[in-house]
Amino acid sequence: MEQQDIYYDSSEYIETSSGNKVSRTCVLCGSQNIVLNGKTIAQSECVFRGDLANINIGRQCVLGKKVIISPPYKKLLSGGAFYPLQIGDNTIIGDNTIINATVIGHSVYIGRNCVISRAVVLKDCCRIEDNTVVPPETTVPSFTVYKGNPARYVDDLPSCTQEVMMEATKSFYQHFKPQKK
Amino acid sequence: MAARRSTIRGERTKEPKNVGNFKIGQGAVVCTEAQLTGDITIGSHTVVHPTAVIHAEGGPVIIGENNHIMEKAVIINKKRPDGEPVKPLVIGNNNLFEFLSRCESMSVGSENIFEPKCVVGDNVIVSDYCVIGSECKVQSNETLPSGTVISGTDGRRWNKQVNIKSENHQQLEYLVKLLPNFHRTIKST
Repeated sequence: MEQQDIYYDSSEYIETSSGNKVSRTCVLCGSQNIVLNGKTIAQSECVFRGDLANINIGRQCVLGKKVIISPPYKKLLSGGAFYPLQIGDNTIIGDNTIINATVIGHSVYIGRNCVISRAVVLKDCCRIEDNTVVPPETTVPSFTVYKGNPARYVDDLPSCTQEVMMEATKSFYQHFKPQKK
Repeated sequence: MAARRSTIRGERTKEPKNVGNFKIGQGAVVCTEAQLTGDITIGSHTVVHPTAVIHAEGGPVIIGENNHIMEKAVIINKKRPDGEPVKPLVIGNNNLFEFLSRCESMSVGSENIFEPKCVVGDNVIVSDYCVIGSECKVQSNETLPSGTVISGTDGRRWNKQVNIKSENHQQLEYLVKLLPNFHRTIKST
């Protein structure tokens, strides 16, 4: 399916030299700890909690509206600490989703209204359907589809998922254009 | 360390306005990016993250000690119809309000967990040790007994005492030290 053009108000978005497009309505706390590796789109009213721990987001990711990205707290023997949060390349995250995971691999699709709870690990090339709640400290394996509240395994993904996601994120970035005057 | 602001936020002209009468206890951290309106009392060692929302429309909101209110959590004392007496919304100690949870309840006890995206309506009384699971809605006219756990798509209920006090306490101590390095906080008035 051909990706439709999405036009945005050019005064609302900031484009960095590496091609990241971040909306001005995003809340970025502790921006020195947030790394966007290039060509990532963060749409309006996202929240990044870089003050708690480092956030590293890979290349060509798409973050929907009102996404909350917050590093998880882990209890250790010698007190506790916030763990750095890593998101791989070519990942799509839908609107209104809460990300409190430790690691999200590359080519992951996360739907709308999802809750990725504390210290979850999403391996490469997996898919979380819309309205899913992944319970704390779950590991989702590669090439699987998880769905429901609480999330359960429902299906497998084909081995070409990485190419499909790469193509999808690339075409989204190309069709995310400033409004013509 | 001075409060650091990102360049992107620096260009914004509209900051959320916090209007009202706030009493903030010792050792509590309330970020200015949180939206507070009305008559609000916050007890000691409570942490309110940026973008959290507390509205006291229909009477004061009184929050106890060691509560943890995360990003975009909403606590509202709703406006009642004319003629009804003004009631304060009293929240006990050691509660955890997670991301995007919405609490309009009449009163909240102690040691409760409001998981992400849960909704508690305005005719509900939450007692102690309750857990309201992710994306669960409680909007009927009822009192949740002590130790109620609600979870899943069908809103299944059972009774189990969950103790979060030690872990929550440890996390709060860490946050009380960390957050003032990055955010401006509301001082007690």
